[in-house]
Amino acid sequence: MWEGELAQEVWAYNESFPGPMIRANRGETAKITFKNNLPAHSIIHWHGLVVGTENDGQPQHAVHTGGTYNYDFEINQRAAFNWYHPHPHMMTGEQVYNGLAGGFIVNDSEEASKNLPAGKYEVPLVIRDASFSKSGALLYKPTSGGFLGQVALVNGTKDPYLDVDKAVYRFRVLNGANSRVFGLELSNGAPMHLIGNDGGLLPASTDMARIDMGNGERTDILVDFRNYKPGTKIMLRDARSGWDILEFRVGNTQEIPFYASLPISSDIEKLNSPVVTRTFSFDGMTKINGKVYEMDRIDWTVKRGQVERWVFKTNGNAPHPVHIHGASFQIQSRSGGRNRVFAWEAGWKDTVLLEDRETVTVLIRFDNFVGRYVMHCHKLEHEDMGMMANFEVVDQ
Amino acid sequence: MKNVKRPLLMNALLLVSSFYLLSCEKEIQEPLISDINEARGGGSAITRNELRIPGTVTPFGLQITAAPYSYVGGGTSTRSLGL
Repeated sequence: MWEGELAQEVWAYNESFPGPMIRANRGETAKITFKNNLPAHSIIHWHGLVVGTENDGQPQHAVHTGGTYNYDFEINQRAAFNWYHPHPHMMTGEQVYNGLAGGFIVNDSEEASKNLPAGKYEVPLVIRDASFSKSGALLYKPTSGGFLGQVALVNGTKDPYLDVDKAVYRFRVLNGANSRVFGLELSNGAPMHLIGNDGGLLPASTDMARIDMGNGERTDILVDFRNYKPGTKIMLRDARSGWDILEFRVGNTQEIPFYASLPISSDIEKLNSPVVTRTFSFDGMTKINGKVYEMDRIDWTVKRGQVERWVFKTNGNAPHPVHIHGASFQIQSRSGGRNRVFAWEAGWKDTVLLEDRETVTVLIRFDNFVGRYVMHCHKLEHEDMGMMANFEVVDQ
Repeated sequence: MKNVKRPLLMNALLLVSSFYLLSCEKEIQEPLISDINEARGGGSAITRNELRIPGTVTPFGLQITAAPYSYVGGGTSTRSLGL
């Protein structure tokens, strides 16, 4: 489309758009140095990884151009598809949009025992939107309501296809868009077998015709291509925009054995008996409980090890994908709006989609670390305008 | 007579103006619709690009450098972007 025209510039981690896929096992220790060669301050946040404050990559940790930041943390959590992205105050949206995002897969023995598809049959899909000039330059023109691009990109690829064998594939999907919510479905109406989300495997896997994903959310799905004729084309589609996102092209191959037994199940501790209830109103496009984010202000404290009930409300201007650092949570209820908790919201979550007129209740417990964390709207333009708050986890 | 002719003249002008505005609107809308069709990738004219799979690394002694990066138009890197 833009052959022979101007250079296409992105902001990339290690010259890769999206960034390289980091993979590690539970119990291993990550030692990572972030080098900032951007013309702006930045810091990396490990979205979904529960780490201490100094390793969390919060706005106050941002380093200037030419600076470095060292991370050193044990990966002490269950298998899941996490991700990493910038988190500097007021600049996260622009930096993620320019290309700074990547996946971070954690594996563990429980997941390994499920015999899920691996190798070439385990494919990460980082889905986002973007707008381009005719010369191929990324265009970012955010508004207070967010930013919606004109085309979809998957793993940085526009109009992508994937040649697939007659096999079951595992797709680890991330909504890496700044503001766009995706409603994923297959063009032939075939089911996607949902096995996991932000926090890893679900209590029980299930077939889904459609999966909605807010910004920052992940889903883990199996798609069975074994029974299609060679040459069949199936589209992964966004039901909300009508976009065709990714074309699967079934090849003329031998059928690949599938060793997992469905449904996939996982024992997940159920949080209960909250001792504190807190209510957070996501107001307009810039505030939580009437306050715009200030980097040096702590808005509430939480006792470590204590189960709390957090209630998220909105007066409008949703969607507000609510993301909490420092712990995962379990969604208890949603009233108003869509008025239900969806299958992809079972188990552990770190981000939950709050639509207009909805009230979402979650249970959360901060087990691992004391220190300072943030909660914010993951519509990145909202976050940048101040829909974020600091809180502190303290010992009892 | 004047009172009758003026509304007729005004009506004619309004009619011409309406046609003009409609034609302008059409000019504005057509490119937008084609953009949407292109964005949806539904047309047979769409040239699809092989999905790029990011390389995998381990986080043990890893350095991650964030920097501007150019994919030169028409070059290998640009094709990997699907652009």
